[in-house]
Amino acid sequence: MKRRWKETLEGYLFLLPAFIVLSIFVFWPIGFSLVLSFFKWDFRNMKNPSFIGLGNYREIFKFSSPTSYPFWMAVVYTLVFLALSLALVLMIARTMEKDRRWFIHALYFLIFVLLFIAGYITNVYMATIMLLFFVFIFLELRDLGDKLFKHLWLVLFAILGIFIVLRYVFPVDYGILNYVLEAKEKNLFIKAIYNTTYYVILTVPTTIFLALMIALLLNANIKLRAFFRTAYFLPFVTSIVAISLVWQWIYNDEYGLLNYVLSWFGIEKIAWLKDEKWTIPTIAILSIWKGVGYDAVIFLAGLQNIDKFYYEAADVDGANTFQKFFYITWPLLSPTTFFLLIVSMISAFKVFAEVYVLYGGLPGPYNYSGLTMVYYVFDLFYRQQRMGIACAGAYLLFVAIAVLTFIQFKIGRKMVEYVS
Amino acid sequence: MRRFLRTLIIYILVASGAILMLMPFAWMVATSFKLPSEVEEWPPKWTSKNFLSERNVKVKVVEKAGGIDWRSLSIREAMAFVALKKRERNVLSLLIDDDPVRRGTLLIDFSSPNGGNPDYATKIDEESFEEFKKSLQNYKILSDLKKIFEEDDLPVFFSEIFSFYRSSKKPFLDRIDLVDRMESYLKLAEKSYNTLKRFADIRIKDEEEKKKFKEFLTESHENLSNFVSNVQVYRAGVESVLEDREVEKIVKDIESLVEEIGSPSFTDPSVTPLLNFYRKKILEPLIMERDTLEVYLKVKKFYKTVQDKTLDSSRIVAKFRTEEEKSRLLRERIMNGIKNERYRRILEELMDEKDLAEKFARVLDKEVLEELKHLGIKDRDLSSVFNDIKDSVVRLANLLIEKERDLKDYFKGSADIDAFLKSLEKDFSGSSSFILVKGKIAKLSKKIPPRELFSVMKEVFDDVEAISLVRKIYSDTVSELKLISAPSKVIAVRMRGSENLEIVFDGIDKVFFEDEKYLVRAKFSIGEVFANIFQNYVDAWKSAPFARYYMNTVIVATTTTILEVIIASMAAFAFSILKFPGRDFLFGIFLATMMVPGEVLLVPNFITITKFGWIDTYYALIVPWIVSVFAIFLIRQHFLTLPQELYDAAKMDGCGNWRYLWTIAVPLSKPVIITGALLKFVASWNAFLWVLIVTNSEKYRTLTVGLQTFSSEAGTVYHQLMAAATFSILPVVVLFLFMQKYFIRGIARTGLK
Repeated sequence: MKRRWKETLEGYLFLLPAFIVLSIFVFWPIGFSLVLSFFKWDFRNMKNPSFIGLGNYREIFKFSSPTSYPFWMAVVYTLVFLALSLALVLMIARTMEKDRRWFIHALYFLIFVLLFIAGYITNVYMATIMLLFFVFIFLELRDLGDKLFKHLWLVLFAILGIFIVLRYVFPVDYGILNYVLEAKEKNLFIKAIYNTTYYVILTVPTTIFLALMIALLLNANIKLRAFFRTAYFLPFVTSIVAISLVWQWIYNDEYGLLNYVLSWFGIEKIAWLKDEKWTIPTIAILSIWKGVGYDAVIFLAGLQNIDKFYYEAADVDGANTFQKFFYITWPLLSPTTFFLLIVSMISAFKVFAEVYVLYGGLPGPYNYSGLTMVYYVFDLFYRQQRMGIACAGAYLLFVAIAVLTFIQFKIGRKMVEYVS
Repeated sequence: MRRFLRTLIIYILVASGAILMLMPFAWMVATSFKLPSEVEEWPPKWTSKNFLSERNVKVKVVEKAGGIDWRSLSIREAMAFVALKKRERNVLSLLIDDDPVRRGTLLIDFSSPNGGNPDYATKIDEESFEEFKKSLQNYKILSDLKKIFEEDDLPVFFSEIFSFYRSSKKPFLDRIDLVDRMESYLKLAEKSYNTLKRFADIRIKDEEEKKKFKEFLTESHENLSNFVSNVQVYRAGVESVLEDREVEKIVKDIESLVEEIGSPSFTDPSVTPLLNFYRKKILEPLIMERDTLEVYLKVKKFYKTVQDKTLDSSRIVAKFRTEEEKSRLLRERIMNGIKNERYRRILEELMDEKDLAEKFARVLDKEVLEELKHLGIKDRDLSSVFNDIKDSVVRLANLLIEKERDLKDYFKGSADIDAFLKSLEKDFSGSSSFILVKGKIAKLSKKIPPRELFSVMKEVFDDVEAISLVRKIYSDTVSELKLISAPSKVIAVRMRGSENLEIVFDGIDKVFFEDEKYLVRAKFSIGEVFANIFQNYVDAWKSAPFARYYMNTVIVATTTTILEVIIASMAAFAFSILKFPGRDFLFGIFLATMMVPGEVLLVPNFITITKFGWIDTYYALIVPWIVSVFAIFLIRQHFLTLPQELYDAAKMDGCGNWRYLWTIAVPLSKPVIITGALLKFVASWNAFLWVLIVTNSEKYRTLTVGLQTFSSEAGTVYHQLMAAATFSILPVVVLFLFMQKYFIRGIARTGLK
């Protein structure tokens, strides 16, 4: 008994230094930050912060001028279109089924006609039709749900594709994307979210795809693998500031190396660092270059963990390279891919130093075109000295990352589970 | 075959990918070796002239007073200095219109325009000069030029003429100016033609004559505009001013033009006033232009005939001195140049210091200040009184130099301040500057008794003279090159501030060497080439406190890493080998913190650091980062693989937990610990946002933030920026290359980011 007490005491003593530091610099700030976000605390009243409830959050989402239509309208319209897309996917799925009851086809046909008319007449009809659909989709999903879930990616892509086609066929000005495009010019936080999302969409898939290619190539039995791996990995260990400076020079529109290389292909000089529309791609290229080696190394480790036995079995069965990739490598690699997806997403959401250095301490060349979420927080807190609102911004960033991670876990678990 | 092809494709893909990945680094290093002029080059090049052991250096003769290093002087001192040292006529100044040369051997080749050794003149024949001037009397020339002809000193005359025509701010022979002048002249002439045509209708009675006159005008106009459009070819050329050959051609063209359009003959007397108008408005400006150009040619010709002697060689070889040679020479020259014992003693002490002249001035100033203090000047008045004295002395000295007299004589000739002022009064009764000085001295004598004031002023005057002498010796010596071979009339070659090359001639006016063609070539030994290549690194290192940044980074990264390893090992030990209630729960909480992005905690942590008073300290940079849950996790996983028997056996032998951890568990887990330590070290080395926030002064900045500030201050000097970037990432890159096994293992095992 005495020994157990002693061991417990010792255990906590061993943990003490780590615990103290974590408490001061992690646990405490998480709570403190949340509390602060409800206080008005800036350079004007440094001495006495005052409680303002959700005031900071409201301030963050305040628009410089009202948008031309409210947010709920954008959501409703987008949902309508998504529902329509889903209905069409279901219809296609139904037609591919063996079971072809005539009335279902008739119903779909009717829906299709109504849909067409709906596009041209006013919004009132849209709402009723939507209601009809939701009932219908619900019924159908109960019926077809399991089958669809097996091909989740395919279904999602189909919905997305049809959504885009529908938006194109029935051009309505209301929609979430249009709303965001308008809102981002009226609210800096939305601009930051928009820029960050744009950046994430550009970097994460590209990096993972390139990294997978590199890992596959390196995994082929080649000589000098260590050297090549070093070459790919080197950017990751070097300081982001130094690297951003180097790229600032490479991006130089008059004498830069990149424009020179592009000139071989007859591309005119691009003002990478001076044009608003190139701001996010510029940062994305740099980040992809920096991050691809890291992802590749993890993929490589994942590849080397795959049992050779599977490939031998496939060889016996006469599978070709592509079959081997799609039926063995890709599924068995999916935990790694999933891990990378989450990690790169989180790190992409935290992009800051690249923007800061590339643009010499400014958020983009003009019009806040390089404003990311961390930059937004940094600016509020460091430049404007508004602690309360900065905390609120930081918390929103935290929530955004947490939500994304959660969603990925939810979807990802389903995808990864059946392999492992 | 197919297999081979497949392998080949894989290799090509992998290699080109690797090249793409390494390209930015290669470009960074390549840029860091470049000369300033090579940075902004299109198309970009991967090589640099810095790697060559020889290169040409473009130079340009500049009209400038030589012998002074301007940057080391304050404005007032500079004013005094200009006056003290009138233009040194024997120093030819060449502007290096190219990348700076800092070391090596210079080969200066200056042959005369006709190929031989450079010509010059020493004795000037007054008579032929007068005769020459007389021969030009009939030319119609600009009034500015006429003024120059009043000059009696031949070399000065030449240099002013050349300045007027070629090297002034708006040289007469400037190509574009000449063409523009002609164009505007044509425009004016066209106006006159119209006027003439209108008046011809009214004034000329004879129809025949009228027609003839009009025809003549049309023809003249045509000729003139032809001429002006022909002149356009001179717009572009090798130099911005016209070559002599071209001037000759233009003169000839104008002459033939004038001949064609200048001598019409008409019988009707009513044409005469119109003809007069024509001559005045159209011909005369043309003739003036021609004459002005021709005068230039004449002077040039005269300039050539005057130069009756030639140097014995046209080649100077000079080598940069080493620091040691410089300081030896400096000592020698200063001891020869300064005779006053007191000054010699002070200089002797300062001799080995940098910025000798500045330090010398400071010591002398201090002594005067001491003296003033003894005279009872209060501390707060001290500097203003001293400045007033100095100012008065310098002003007086300048005034006297304008009159070509020396202040020293006045000091010697008078016993006290009143006598001194009186003796000056005689010569400067009207000068406003003198009145100002007098006022100042009157103010001063209220605070200091006149006798003492006089002696202090005398001392200050001596000091100023000594300082400027030391300064001159210093700047001449430091910039002087060692002559290896040179014409006997060349005494010294100096390189001032790596952009001004000076050739000092023995008693020959520099104007005679202004028409020579200068070809300068720099040669470097292998060691010098090496120094050239790394010049940007040295410059960058010096232009920001990088040594400090480096030290900070090393201190912060090392301390953080060591503490991290200790704390993480302890925590990992508790989480793996010890068993106690709440262990797994705590571990879960620890792991959960890995999901919290550090950026979210920026604000509260900043507030905490401020509360602790840690802003701008090493604590702020180190303490928040000494716990890494990732490292704890990594080490814990490894500790779990250690056999339980080992622990039990150690316990049996009476080994405590603490000792077991440090003597058995940690040494057995070396690879994992190294991995954790390396990752932390690199992360700490590269940290940016946090360092940016918690440091205000450069005293605690690390390399990343230092580099960023350097880049925003230095702007677009990419050769230096790239050098700075290279040396700031070098340690990490080297560390990675040697330890990459550990890096890759740590990263492959789980992620970090």
